[in-house]
Amino acid sequence: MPVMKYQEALRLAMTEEMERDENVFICGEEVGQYQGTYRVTEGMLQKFGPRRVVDTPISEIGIAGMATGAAMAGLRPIAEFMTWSFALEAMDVLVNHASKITYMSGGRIQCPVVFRGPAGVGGQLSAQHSQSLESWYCHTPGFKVVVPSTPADVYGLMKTAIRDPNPIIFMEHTSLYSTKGEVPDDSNFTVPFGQAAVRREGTDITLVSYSNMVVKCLKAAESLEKDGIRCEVIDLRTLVPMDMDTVIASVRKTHHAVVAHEEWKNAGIGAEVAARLYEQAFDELDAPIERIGGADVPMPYAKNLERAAIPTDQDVIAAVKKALA
Amino acid sequence: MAKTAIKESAECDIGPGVDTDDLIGIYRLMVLIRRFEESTYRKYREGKMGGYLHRYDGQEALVAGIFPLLDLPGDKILCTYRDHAHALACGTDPKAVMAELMGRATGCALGKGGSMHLIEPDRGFLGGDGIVGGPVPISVGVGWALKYKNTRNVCVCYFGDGAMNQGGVHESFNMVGLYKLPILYILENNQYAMGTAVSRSTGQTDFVLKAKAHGINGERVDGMDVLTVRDVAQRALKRIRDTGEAYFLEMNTYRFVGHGIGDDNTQGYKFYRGEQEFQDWTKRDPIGKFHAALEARGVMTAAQAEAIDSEARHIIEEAVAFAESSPEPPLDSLYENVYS
Amino acid sequence: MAEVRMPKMGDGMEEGTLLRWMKKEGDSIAVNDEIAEIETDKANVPVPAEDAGTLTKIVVREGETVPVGAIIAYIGEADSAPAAKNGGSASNGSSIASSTSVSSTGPKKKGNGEKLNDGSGPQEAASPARATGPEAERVKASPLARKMAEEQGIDLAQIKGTGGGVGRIVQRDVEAFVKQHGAVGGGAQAAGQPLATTAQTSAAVAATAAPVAPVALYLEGEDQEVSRMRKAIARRTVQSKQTVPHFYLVMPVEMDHAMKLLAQMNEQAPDQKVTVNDLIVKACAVALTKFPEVNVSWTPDDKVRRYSSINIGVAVGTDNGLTIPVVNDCGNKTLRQVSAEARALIGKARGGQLTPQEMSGGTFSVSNLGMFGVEEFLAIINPPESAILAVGAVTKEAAIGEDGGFVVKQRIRVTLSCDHRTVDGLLGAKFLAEVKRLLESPLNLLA
Repeated sequence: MPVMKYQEALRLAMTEEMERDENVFICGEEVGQYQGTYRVTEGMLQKFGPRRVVDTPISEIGIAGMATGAAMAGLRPIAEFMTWSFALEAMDVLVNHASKITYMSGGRIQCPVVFRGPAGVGGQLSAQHSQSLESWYCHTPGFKVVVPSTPADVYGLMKTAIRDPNPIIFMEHTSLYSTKGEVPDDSNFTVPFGQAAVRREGTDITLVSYSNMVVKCLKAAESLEKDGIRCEVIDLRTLVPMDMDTVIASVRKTHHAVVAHEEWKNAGIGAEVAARLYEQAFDELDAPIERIGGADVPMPYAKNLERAAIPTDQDVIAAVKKALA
Repeated sequence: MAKTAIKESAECDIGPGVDTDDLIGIYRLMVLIRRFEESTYRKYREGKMGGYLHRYDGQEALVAGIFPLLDLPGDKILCTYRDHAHALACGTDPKAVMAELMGRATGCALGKGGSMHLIEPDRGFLGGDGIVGGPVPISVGVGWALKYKNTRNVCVCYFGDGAMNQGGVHESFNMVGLYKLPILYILENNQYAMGTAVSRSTGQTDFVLKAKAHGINGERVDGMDVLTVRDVAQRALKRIRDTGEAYFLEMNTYRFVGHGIGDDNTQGYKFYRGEQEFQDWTKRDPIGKFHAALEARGVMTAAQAEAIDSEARHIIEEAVAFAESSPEPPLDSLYENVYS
Repeated sequence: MAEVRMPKMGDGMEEGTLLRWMKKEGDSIAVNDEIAEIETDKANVPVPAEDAGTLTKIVVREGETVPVGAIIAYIGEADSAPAAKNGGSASNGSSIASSTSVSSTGPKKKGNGEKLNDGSGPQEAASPARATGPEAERVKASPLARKMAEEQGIDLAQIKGTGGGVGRIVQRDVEAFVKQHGAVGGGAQAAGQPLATTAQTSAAVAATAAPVAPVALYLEGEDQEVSRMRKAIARRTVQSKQTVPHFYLVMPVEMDHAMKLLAQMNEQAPDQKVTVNDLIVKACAVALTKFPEVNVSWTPDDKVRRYSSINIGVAVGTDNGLTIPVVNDCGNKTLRQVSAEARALIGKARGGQLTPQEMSGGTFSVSNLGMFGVEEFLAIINPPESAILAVGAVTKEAAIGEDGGFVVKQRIRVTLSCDHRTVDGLLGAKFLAEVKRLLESPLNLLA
C-alpha cells in the first residue's frame, strides 16, 4: 500500500470522487489559486477548473448557503471552512437549514453536502482559532460528524461522506495533516460511518478517543504496557453515528474506561460516551469512567498556559491509573 | 410612507397581446389565495392549527403575477415563512397545504414542517423558510446548481424588507453578483419587518441601490398591481435566462393583516400602522383593482367573478374536509426523515 | 441502654471477628443468654449478655473484625431502639454513642426519622419505634462487583474493598474473596443449569443468595479447581437444603416376592436385565399415578403446580459427580420399557454423554446406594421436585413368621424426603405405604 500524508489522502479521496461524480464540486476560501490554506486542495483547480474548484469571498454564510442550496438542488458540494472556528459565522445555515431541511420537508428534500476543514487545538493560535467544537454538531440531529485520525481513515471516510445523502460535518485536525500512513491503493475503498476502530488491543482498560487524541492515547498505552497495564484503544472515527457496540464489547472485557478528547470537557463527547456506558453497560463497570478533556477556558496564547490547557498522553496515563486504583 | 419613486397606476393597464385565459387564471389564483388565507385564520381560531400563522392577504400580486410565468419544476422557488400563497401558486394540492397546516400525515411535508415550511419539490418549490433572510444564502447554491448544470432555469427567491438588514443576505448578494447566477430576487417590501417600519430599521432605504452595490441590477415595482408585476417579471426572467445574471425586484406591497397570529388576533398591527395609512393601502387591494379592470374591459363578467369565488370556496371546503379527516402523523414517524 | 462490646478473651487478643449473631434485633435477652459467637486467634467463643432487655441494635455485622472494646450491639428497652431513630447510619462505636445521646435527649429534638413523621398524623407518631433491624448500610461497590457478588450469592458486606482509593469493592476484591472462601451458590445462573427444570427455581434462588456463612478458619491446604458439574452440585444442593423444608419418612419393604420376580424375568431375558432400582422406579410411578398430589412443585408465586406426566430422575454417581437423568412419562410405560430406558440413560451418564434435555424435566427422583451396602440414607430433594426416594441395600433380616418362629426375609429400607410446602406427613406416609404395597405384591407392576 502506498504511504502518504493525511492531507494527501484527503485530496486523493476528493479528487477521485470528483472524477467519479460530475455533481461533486468544492468551494471555499483559498481552495483554488492559493492551493488551499493547508495545501489540501493543491493542484485541484488546475485539474478541474474554476467551475468545480470555486474560490469564494470570505463569507462563511455565503459558502455554507451555496453548498446547502446546491445540495438541495441536486449537486454534491464539498464546502471548505478555512477552520471550523470560522464556521461559527455560518451557524444559521448549518444548524437551521442544512441539518433540518430533510426532516422539515418530511424527507422530500435531500441535502448531500460535506462541510469540511481543519479543527483542533494547538500551535499557540489562541482563543478564536484554537478550539474543538465537534459537540455542537453532535448535539444537532441531522448531521453526521466525522473525526478521522489516520490517512487511511481520512481517505475512506471522505469517500463515504461525499457519497452519503446527508449533511456531513467532516473535521480534520491540523496536527494530523502531515502525519503519514498507508492508504489502500483502491479507489473503491471506503470506511463506513458508525464503525469504530480498535487501534490497540488490551485487557485491562478501554481508552475511547478520536482524532488527534487517539495518537496520545496510543502513546500512553505504550508507556503503560511497561507497567503491565494493557490498554485497549478505540478510535470512534465518527461521533454521529457513534459505535457504542464496539465500546461496550471492549468494556465487557476490561471493565474500566477512560474517554479522552481535546475539546472542552464540560458537556463534551466524553460525557456522552460515559453516559451511554452507564446506561448500557452499568453492570460491567468496575470503576467510575474517567473523562479527559481540554481545560474549560478560552485557549490561552502563552505557551505554558496552552500546554496546560490541552490534554496530553500524561493526562491519559494518570486517568488510567486512577481508574485502575 | 412608501417611497413613491415608482409609478403607481390607478388602474390595471391591460395592454394588447395578453391572453384572456391567462388573466382569468391570475385572478382565480389571487382569489384562491385570499379565500385560503381567510379560512386558515378561522381554522386557527377553531384550534385546528398551531404555531404561528403568517397570512399573505394584500400581497397576492407578488405571487400571482410571477408564478404563472415560471417553468416548473425546472425553475426553483425559495420563500419566507409567509409561504401559503407560494405553495398554492406553484401547484401544490390545496388539500396537502391545508393538511400540513393542521399537522396531518397527508400534509405536503408529512406534518413535520407546518405553516412556515410548506414545500413541493415536485413543483420546484424548495420550501418556506422560518428565518428572516434565510432563503437568500440558500439561493446562492440553488442558483449555482442551475448554472452548474447549464440549464436556462431560474431560481426565484422571495424575502422581506426585514431581511435586507441581515448580514447573510449581503454576503450572498455579493457572491451572486460575483458569480453571475440565474436568480430572480423578489423583495416583498410590505413596509414592516414584523412591527418595525422600514424607516425605523434602515439607514439607506433604497433597496435597489443595495442590490446594485453587490453587482445585481434591479428596479422597484408597484406590487399592488398584478399586471405591472407580471410585466416587469416577464422582462426580468427573460433577461436572466438570456444573460445568466441575477435581477432584483423590490415589490412595494402591504399586508392587510397582522404579521402573524399574534397581532392578527388582537389587531395589534394597529399599534404600528396608522388608520389612514391602512385605509389608503386597502383601497389599492390588488384583487379589487384587478377585478374592476377585468370587468371594465369585458374580460370577465360579474357572474364569472362570482363563480370563481364560489369555486375557490369549494376548493377550500374540500381541503378543510380532507385535512380534518386526515390522520395525524404516526408516532413512529417521529424518528423518520432525520436522515435520508 | 446497655452497650455490648467486643470482649477481650485472653492475653494478646486485640481484635475479634464476629462470626455469627445468635439473636436478632428485637429479640428479648436474658442475662447470660449467648447473643453472638466471635472468633479470636485461638478459638470461637460465645458472647453472653451481661444485661437483660431487648437486642435493640446490632452494630457489627457478621464477618466484621473490630478491636477489643468496640461496641458490637445495644441492649435496652424495646421502645428506645436507636436504630429506629437514627436510620442505622452509624457503623462504629463512637458515632453510635453520639447518636445514642441524641436519641436519648429525646423527642424534643427532631431526628431525621421524626421529621418524616411530622405531617403524617398522630397514629404514626404514637406507634412505637420498631426494631426491625438496621437499615442496610450503603456498601461502596462497583456495578460489576455487585453483579458478581449477586451471581455468586456473596454478601458484599463481607468483602473488604480496595478500589478507587476509597475502599470501593471492585472485581478483584470479589475474586479474592471467592478464591479464599468459595462462592455460596444459588446464584442467578443456577436457574439456567440443566438440573433446574422451570423458572420456578428463581424464587428459591433469590432466597438462597442469602448472607454467606461466617468466615471460617481454613487450614493450609491445596486448593483445586473444580468442574462446572461440581459447582452446579454445590449450588443446587445448598439451594435445596436452604430453601426446601425437608422431612423424612423411613419405610421397611419386604422384598422376597420382588426378588423372586426379578430372578424369573432376568432368567427369561438375561440380556435385558431388570434391576431392583427399575422395579422401585416403576413402583414409584404407579404410586404417583394414585397420588398425583406428590407429583408437584411449589412455584415462586406460592402455588402448587401439578404435572400431568410422571418423569422420574434416576440418580447416577459418576467419576465427575452426581447426575440425574430422567425417565420420562413412567406412568405410561411398562416395567421393561422403564428398565430399558434407565439402562440407556445410565450408560450415557457414565460416559458423560447426557444432553441437558435428558437431565431436565424430572418430577420425582430415586436415589439408590444399596449396591454399596448402605442400608438407609436421607437424600436431598432435587428442586423443583417435591420428593425423592432414597433406596438402601437389600438385606436379609430375621422376622417373626406366621407360625411365631423366626424366618429370614429380604428387606430394604426406603426413605422418602418430602418438601413440606407441598407434601404433608400424612400424604407422604400414604404414598410411601403404596410404594411398599406395590413392591411387596410386585405382579401389580407388570401391567
